[in-house]
Formats: sequence, C-alpha cells, structure tokens
Amino acid sequence: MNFRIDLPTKLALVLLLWICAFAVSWEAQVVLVLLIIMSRFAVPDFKPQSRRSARAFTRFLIYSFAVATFVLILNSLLIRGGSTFGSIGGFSLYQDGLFFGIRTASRLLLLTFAILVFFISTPLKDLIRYLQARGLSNSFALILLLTLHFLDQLPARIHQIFLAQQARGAPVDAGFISRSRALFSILSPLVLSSIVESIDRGTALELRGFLHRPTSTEESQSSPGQRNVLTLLILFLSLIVVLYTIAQWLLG
Amino acid sequence: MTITFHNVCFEYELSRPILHNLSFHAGPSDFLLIVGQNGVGKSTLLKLANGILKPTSGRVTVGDLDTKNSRTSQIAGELCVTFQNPADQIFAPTVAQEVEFAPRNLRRDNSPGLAHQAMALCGLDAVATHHPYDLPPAQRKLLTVASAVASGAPLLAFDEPSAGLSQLELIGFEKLLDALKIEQRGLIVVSHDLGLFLKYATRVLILRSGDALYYGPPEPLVANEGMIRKAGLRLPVPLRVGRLLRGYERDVKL
Amino acid sequence: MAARIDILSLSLRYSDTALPALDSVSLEIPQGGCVGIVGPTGSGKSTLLHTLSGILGKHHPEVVVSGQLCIGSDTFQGIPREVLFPTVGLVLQDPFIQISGVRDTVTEELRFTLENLDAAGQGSDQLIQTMLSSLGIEHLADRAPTTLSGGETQRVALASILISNPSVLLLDEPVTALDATAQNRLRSILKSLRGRTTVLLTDSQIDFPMSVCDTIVVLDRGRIEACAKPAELLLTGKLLTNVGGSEHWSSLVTPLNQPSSRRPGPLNRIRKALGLP
Repeated sequence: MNFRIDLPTKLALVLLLWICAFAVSWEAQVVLVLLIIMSRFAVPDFKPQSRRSARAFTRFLIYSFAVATFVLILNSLLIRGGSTFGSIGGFSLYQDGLFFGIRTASRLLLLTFAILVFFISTPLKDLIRYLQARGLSNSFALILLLTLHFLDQLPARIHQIFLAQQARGAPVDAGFISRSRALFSILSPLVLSSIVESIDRGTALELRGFLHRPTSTEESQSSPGQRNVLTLLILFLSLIVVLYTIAQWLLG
Repeated sequence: MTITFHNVCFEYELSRPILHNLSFHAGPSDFLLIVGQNGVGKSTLLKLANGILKPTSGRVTVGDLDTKNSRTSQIAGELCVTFQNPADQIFAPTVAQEVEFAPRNLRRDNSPGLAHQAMALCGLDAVATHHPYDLPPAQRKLLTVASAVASGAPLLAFDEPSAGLSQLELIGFEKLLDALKIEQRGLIVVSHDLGLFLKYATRVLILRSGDALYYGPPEPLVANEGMIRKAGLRLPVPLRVGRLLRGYERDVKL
Repeated sequence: MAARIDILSLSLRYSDTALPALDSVSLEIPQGGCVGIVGPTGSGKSTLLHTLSGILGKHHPEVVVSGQLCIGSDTFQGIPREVLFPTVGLVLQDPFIQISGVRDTVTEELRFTLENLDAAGQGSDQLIQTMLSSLGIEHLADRAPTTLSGGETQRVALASILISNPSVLLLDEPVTALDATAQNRLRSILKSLRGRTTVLLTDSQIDFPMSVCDTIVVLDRGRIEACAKPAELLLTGKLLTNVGGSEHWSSLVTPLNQPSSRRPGPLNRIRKALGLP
C-alpha cells in the first residue's frame, strides 16, 4: 500500500470537487476554491509543469475573478428580491440577486479551478499514456497526441506564418482594417499546413509501431499491494458526499 | 536601391550575442552569397534585413529606409525575403493566386502580369491552376521563390532556395538566376550549397560563430580552400575535381 | 540481423492514374549491403521506400500491384499491406516530423520506440545510452527534441529507428538539409552499419551515394535506368544527365582510366576509395 498523489489521485480529486460543486454549500465551495488556489503554490504535485502553464494559471485567476464579479453584479441587478444594498448608474442592487450570484459564481469557480489545476500540473502526454495503459485505443490516442501537438505549436506557428507573410508585404503590422484583410493569409496556411503536418506526423508514429503498441504495459499492471490509499480514500469520500446529498434530498 | 548593414550587432538575450559587427551591402546586379554552418545566424541576418528583427546596435538601411523605424511590409516593396519553410506562407487555392499575393499587397501595376512572368521564370506556368499542395515539395519551394520574384522588389533575399531541388529543377533555377541578372535585380542568397551559387556570386560573406570570417569576391576562396574549411564547409565536388584534373594535366601533359 | 531484399518485376499504379509509379522494378539487395537510389523528383524513389516499409500498402489499399517482394524470409505477392516495423525501419525526409514530440526529452523519445515494441523494461536505460553514444549524441540525452538543430534532429530520428534493431534501414533523402560536417557524420554512421543492417537510401544528387553506397540504382519515371557499382558507373560513363552532379564525375572518367604510372596521387586515392585496382 502506498500513499501519494499520482495521476489517478488527481483524477479522483477532480471528481470529488465536481461533486462538491453541486452538493455542498456556497461557503464550503468558496473555501475549496481558496484551498485549490493555495495548493497550486504549496503542494509540489499541483505546481505548474512549465512557465507557460504558470502564466496560464495567473491569467485565468484574473479573468475568472473578473467574470465572477460580473456574474455577481448582473444577478444583483436582475434578480430583484430582498433589500437593496447599493446602486450602479442609478440601478439598484438586490440582496437576493447577490446571494444567487454568489452561489452561481462559487460553483463555476470550483468546477473550472478543479480542472485547471489538474491540467497545469499534469503533462497531457502523461495523461494520454496513462489512458492508453488502461485500454484507450491506440488510434484514439494518436488523434489526441496529434491535437495536443497542434495546440502546443500553435503560437509558434502563427508567429512564423505572420513573419513570412509580412515579408511578402502583407499589411499585418498596419491598421485594423488592413490587418483584418490579411487575416486569411495567416489562418489559411495555419490550417492547411497543420492538416498536412498532422497526416505526416501520424505516419511517422505509425512507422515507429505506435498503432501496435501493447495496451497493457508494466505501468498498468498493479498488484493489490501497490494500490494508492489516497486515491481510494478520495473515491470513498466522493461516494459519501453523493449518498449524503441524496439522503438529504429524499428526507426533504 | 541598396541594402547596407552598418556595424550591426544582434543578440536575443544578454551575453549571448548572435551577430557581431557585421558590415556589408548589396545593390542592383549584386549577388551576395552568405554561407556558414547551420545555426550560425544566417536566417537571423535575413530577419534583420527586412526589419522583422531590429539590430541591438548599428543600423540596417534599405535604400532610404532605416529598418529601426520602418514597417516590414513597407520594406518588402524594396527587399522581398523568402524563408525556408513554404508551409509558412502557402494559403491560396491556386499557384497563380499564391504568386500574385506579393505584387497585390505592394499595389504593383499589372500584378497578374508580374505573377505570370515569375511563374514562367520558375517553370511553374504549367501548374498555374493547380493547388499548391498538389505540387511535390521541391516545386512548392520554387513557388516561394516565384512569389518573391513577382513582388517586383529590386532586391530579393532567399533562405536556402535550392534545398531539396533535384537536377531538372536546379537547371531551371540557374536559368532564373540568369534572368534576374539581366533584370539587374540584387540578390542575397543564404545557402550552404556552394556548388550551385559560387559561380554566380559577386561577393561572398562567410559567417562563423556570428563573425564575418570573410567578405569579398569569390575567386580567392576557390583558389585556396582554407578559408572555407575554417567555416566548417567544403568546396563543392566539381571545383575539387577541377583542381585535381588541372594538377593531373600539369603533371602528365594530357 | 540484416535482411536480404529481392524485388521481382514490381509494378505499382494508383488506381486513378494511368502512369505507373513503379514500372517493372527488379532489384536484389544483399544482406548488409548499402544501396543508393538516385533520380529526379517524381522518379519513384520515395514510393519505393514507402512500399518497402509497408506504409504505402496500408494507406493505399486501392493501388494496383503486380510482381513480388521478399524481405528476409517474408515473401509478399505484390506489396506488404501492414507496417513492417521493426523489421523495416523508415527514416522520413523531414526529421522534425519523424521526432513527433510525443516525449519531452531525447532519451524518452528513444524509450517511446521501445515501449511500442513492449521492450521498455529492464535494461532499456542501458540500451538507450549505448545508442546515443554510438551516434555521438549522448550530450543531447536530456534536451527537448523541439530545441535541436536540423543535423541533431536527424541523428535523433535515426537513433529512434535504429534502437529497434531493424533488419532493413530506409533513409529518404537524408542529406537534403545537412551541411558538409553533418554529411560526413552520417557517412561514418552508415559505414559502421555495414554488414549489420541492410541500408537503402535515396537522393536526388549523386555525390553522397557515390561516396557511401556499394551499388547505385538510377530510377527515372518509375523504371530502373541503371544499376551498378559506383566505380562501374564512372568507368563506363553510365550516368544520366538529369541526375544531379553527374557531369563532374563524368570528367573523371578519362583520367581514371589512364594506366597507373600516369596517374598522380589524388586520382589514385579516388580509385582506391572506389575499390578500383
């Protein structure tokens, strides 16, 4: 038996958090969101895998709180119930709307942050490898890997295409209207070359035997003695929360 | 219309300079061949030439334009640069439309005529209505060259234009170089294919570790392979064979 | 162990074209030999390699085929319809495509090949280390494949195929993007494989194959126009004008055929390198 945070543990944790997004009170959801954000800094297994992931996390943090604030204000304006607690531009803000907005925003934040911290701390290639070891078909894994590669290379490719077209006089560095006209000359090579390249990459992977890769590898062969206690505990907890929620609903 | 590098230095990051104190120029009817091992900074040099990158110190001027305060799309009218990967620029559904892209952007009179002429020079007129991705990779490479030629710019710069071309295409390419010479267009070619380009070059710039190891006419390089070998290159087989044969003829009096 | 290849009157045509991609190709490649296939664009060089690897037959079940192909002890009526990896390893023309970025380090890229063969268990670390050393790229072990230069990527691509110990190694235009130093390195690697692996490489120029292959096959429009040792090609002047580089080799024909007493040192060295007395 061992006790560590590995990929199955993280997946189980995402499941638990998603269940909590619908099963627990908004106060508990807010606490969970704050715990997730703290874990990104404090827990090594949840730290970003790359500088790009770290930047993505920070940007997402800012955007999500901006969106949450917007949701709060919108609900406070539109759901008119309870006493008012302020006004914006002559329009009153209502307490009922505020609480509804808080419940909506906290749920959205919990759902999205759970997924986000999983993906920034887990290289997707590892995820695909894990899924393959557990029976994901090689053909499907091939599609996932090619898509992943495309997304990975996307910013660099756009940049290279941008430079090549600029060198041919395309007005990509001029005014808004000129740039809009030049957009097709950026997007089209991106799509065309990505399709062609994906086909070639798929062939390259096939030529290295990828499609005949054994689906059961040493990674997937785990004996009872090696099962991760933490994963089991989290799954058990998820079950408890679901049963408790159902019981509460049944008993009214 | 001349492009001039005045004491140009360039570094992406501090304490990792790529190019040091480069000074050279290329004008009408010039053929500047830039050689060096892979990774030595040749492609960076082309990006400095058309203003994509700005020099860390020194100046690059294209005619009256200083790259530091000119847009690349503006400079493209005077100096049109083609990079190594055709996939970075191919977007049109036909070869003809692809070649017409540059002269249209630059608002040239008679863009279709310029495109037609460029396609004929590059041996692409027979495939003008084909989709670029229906062409073999070597012809796609020629397509990027045709696209730059059609721009009508007095100066052209190519990055490894002969890579992947087979013999028939190379013969056609040599005809293109002859035609461009007649039109008095200035050419800058970055390549490690000395065999093809040495005989056309009016000046050669050899780069090693970002420094100019040599800048001058090609004849001294052919007479003495030492400079070329210092840059990690070899003279092309025909020239080495030619030297062997001349030595042989001298010794044996054939 | 290297495998022998016998191609018997192989013809191949895509169902929607009238012209054959390969036209009655017959070729015998001995175990451990090194053959260079040269020809212009569209001559069928890549088609031949892709056919031998099995990928063409797999992706194009509609091709019309006649003839026979034997690779080692396997005989195919027509062409193989499955990828023959690891018996046959194909290194694609573009090494950046071959190294598909599925792993984050060069070591893991090589391990990926072993995983596909279910051979990534004990001893794989040692195997990877040995392979990296044999190609002179042990210093790249922890580098990300996407940060390597063209020559380095090519050696990693080669390693990723060689680690599977193929009986046949196919290289599609391996020297297109290589400078002189990198070409020399590839030349030494191929010489070290002599006898252990059967090698087939293609090129649109003749210089590299002349200096490294036992036999040169000239393909044009899917047909074999010439098949001979480099020396014979030189001495008989059997070179095609649309094969790159042939003219300067032709100029050596007369001097090389002079009696030895009349030949200066450098030409003698060429004769020796070509295996001529």
